[in-house]
Amino acid sequence: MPDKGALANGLNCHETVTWRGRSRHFRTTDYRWYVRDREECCMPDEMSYLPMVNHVLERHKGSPGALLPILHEIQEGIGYIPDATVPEIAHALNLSHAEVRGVISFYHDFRTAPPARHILRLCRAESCKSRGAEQLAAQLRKRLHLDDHGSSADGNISLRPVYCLGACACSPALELDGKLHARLSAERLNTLIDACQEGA
Amino acid sequence: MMTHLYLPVDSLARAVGSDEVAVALASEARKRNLPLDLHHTSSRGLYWLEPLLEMDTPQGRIGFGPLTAEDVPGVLDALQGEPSSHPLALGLVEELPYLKSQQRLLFARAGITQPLSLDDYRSHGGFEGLTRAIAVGGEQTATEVFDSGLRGRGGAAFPAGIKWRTVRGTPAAQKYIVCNADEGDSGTFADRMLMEGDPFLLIEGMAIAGITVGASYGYIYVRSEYPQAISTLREALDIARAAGYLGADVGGSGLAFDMEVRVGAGAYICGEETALLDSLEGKRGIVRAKPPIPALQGLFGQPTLVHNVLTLASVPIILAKGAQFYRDYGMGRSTGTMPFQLAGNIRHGGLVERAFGLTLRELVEDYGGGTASGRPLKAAQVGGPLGTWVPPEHFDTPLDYEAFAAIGAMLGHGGVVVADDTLDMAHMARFAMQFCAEESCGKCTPCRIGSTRGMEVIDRLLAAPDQGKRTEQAIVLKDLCDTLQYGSLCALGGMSAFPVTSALKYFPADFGLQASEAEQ
Repeated sequence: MPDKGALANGLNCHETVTWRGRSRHFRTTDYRWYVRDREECCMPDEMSYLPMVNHVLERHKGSPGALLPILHEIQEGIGYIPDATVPEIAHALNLSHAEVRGVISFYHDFRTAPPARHILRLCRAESCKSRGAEQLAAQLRKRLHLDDHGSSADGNISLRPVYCLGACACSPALELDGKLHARLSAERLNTLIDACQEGA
Repeated sequence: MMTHLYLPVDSLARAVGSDEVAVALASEARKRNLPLDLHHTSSRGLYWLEPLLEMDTPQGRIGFGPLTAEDVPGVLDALQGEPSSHPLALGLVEELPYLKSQQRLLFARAGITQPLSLDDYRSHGGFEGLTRAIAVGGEQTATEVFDSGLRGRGGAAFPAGIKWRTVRGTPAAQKYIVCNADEGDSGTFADRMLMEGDPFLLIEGMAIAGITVGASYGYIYVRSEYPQAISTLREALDIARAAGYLGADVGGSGLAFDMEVRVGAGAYICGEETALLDSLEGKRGIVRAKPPIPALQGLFGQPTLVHNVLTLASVPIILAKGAQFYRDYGMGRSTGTMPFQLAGNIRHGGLVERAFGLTLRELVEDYGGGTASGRPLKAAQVGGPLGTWVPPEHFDTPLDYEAFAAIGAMLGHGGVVVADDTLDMAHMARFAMQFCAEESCGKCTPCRIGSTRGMEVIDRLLAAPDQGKRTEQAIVLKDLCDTLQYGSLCALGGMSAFPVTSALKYFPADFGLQASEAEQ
């Protein structure tokens, strides 16, 4: 987990960054909201993440096998792994771009596009299946008009299947925005979705 | 008088409402001006009773559960008056038959201690194993582990002592201890419970391993689906380091050992030890061909001791109480205790730690209380998504590595997923192939391509218009399963065939086949 305070310090909050001959002034501490605001009002500019990315690379590049921790921290800070960060990571770790992209695409957790506001991961493994996870999945598909991997057009909610959350003694289970919910019923699932849609 | 209450902070207890109960307790106690001391402990593993609130009494801790926030005022009334009058009162928790009949060695502290309290850990036998390991020295420690008969708890059941001797006997400038905490099997949660509830036990086990085999650094590779285990372990590492149990001089031994937590990224295959090592090295989690075995050339090409969480966590008690004490539990070549995990459609889901040798029926019927739905039991899948579906006629098999191998099944990590008669085994067989296709690392052909072909064959089998066509596809499917089982590089491909062939063998009707056709 990146320390939010350290992130802020790494950035000095107000900073003019020069990258590949272009300079840009920006001020923020929380990249995730910054990115979202930017994308809603103007063109995405992945360059703006680079100070944070360089800060992460600086801290990790000496430790052996650091690629996964680096990718986790970048995703934690930005919400996804922007394509513009790949050359920076590759350069810092002395890897080819292909090696970095290969790792990003191999692991289910890493995203290369901004996530929805809410991420709902319904467990679809054996234990939850034996307690009706498939019916819950059908309920989600029907209510949200999405498939199992779908994201709503308004960017509010993404569905992702997950195979085991370690809650098997109280199946079925799901994870919503990082919080685990178990002993699910159709009603509780509806309540959770209601809460997501109210906040939208 | 101050009332001492205990409520678990285990992530699953929280997922079923223990946080809400804690908030309600605090506000209700304030309203009543009642002095409460709420201790946040680990979970007992009696998950069907969670959230389980316990209170100190002169006789021992009494329990209430499963609670909701709405039950809190009533429970406080009962605590101030006659506790047993409450409808959710359970009496003395340690007298509950589910718990009392267990043999808890690994989970001895579960539900009793606070996960991040070093004082709690020490006052319940913590670090006795490390102290003794330092006192007797590396050679004797490795011998004790060997003599205890401890076998790897991750699934393959390889004798731990042999790995320890191999790594110890291999000269190298740098060796590593790697803890495989990528507990991806559905139906298993013992690793998660241990890491969230008793992190110092794992740290102690790894420190003993480190100073014994001559490794100065360790990694715990935890799956990203367990965020609470990750944060608890990281805090526990800082506490242990500050107390001198990690660092340049481990517990006064003069030997150095330190470790860190690394987080997986949602790849099931990284639970396979060589894929895990590649992932730790910052690569795609691709399975390596063996030999060389990791004990000789593992992480970064160095000798590496790779063990599951439960294997490493078994070491402190073996050292503290001696190899003979541990050997006295279990049967045959399966010595010690195993934390079995009851999951799926089961009335009393939770953790049952018992010596090897009790039968699957005792586990599912006596402890589990049958299906949660109340419908007839159809089968139990033992050993995770790659395990065999065991039909009730085999439920009298003792839970022992060899006895399970004899019926074509495996114990794996000790997870048992129970299903009632509504679960469609043809669907589960297709899911096993689909899961293998999604999670295959892609290195070997049977797994990478065979799994997708397997899905297609099952689809054709289910869509076939007549018996003849169905039988034809069943033969192709069995042939394909043979290829997977004997031709794959690792257990993912090799064992993905098990749930398919067992479903086909025991539940042919779900595939629209007659029993005689499935036998062919």
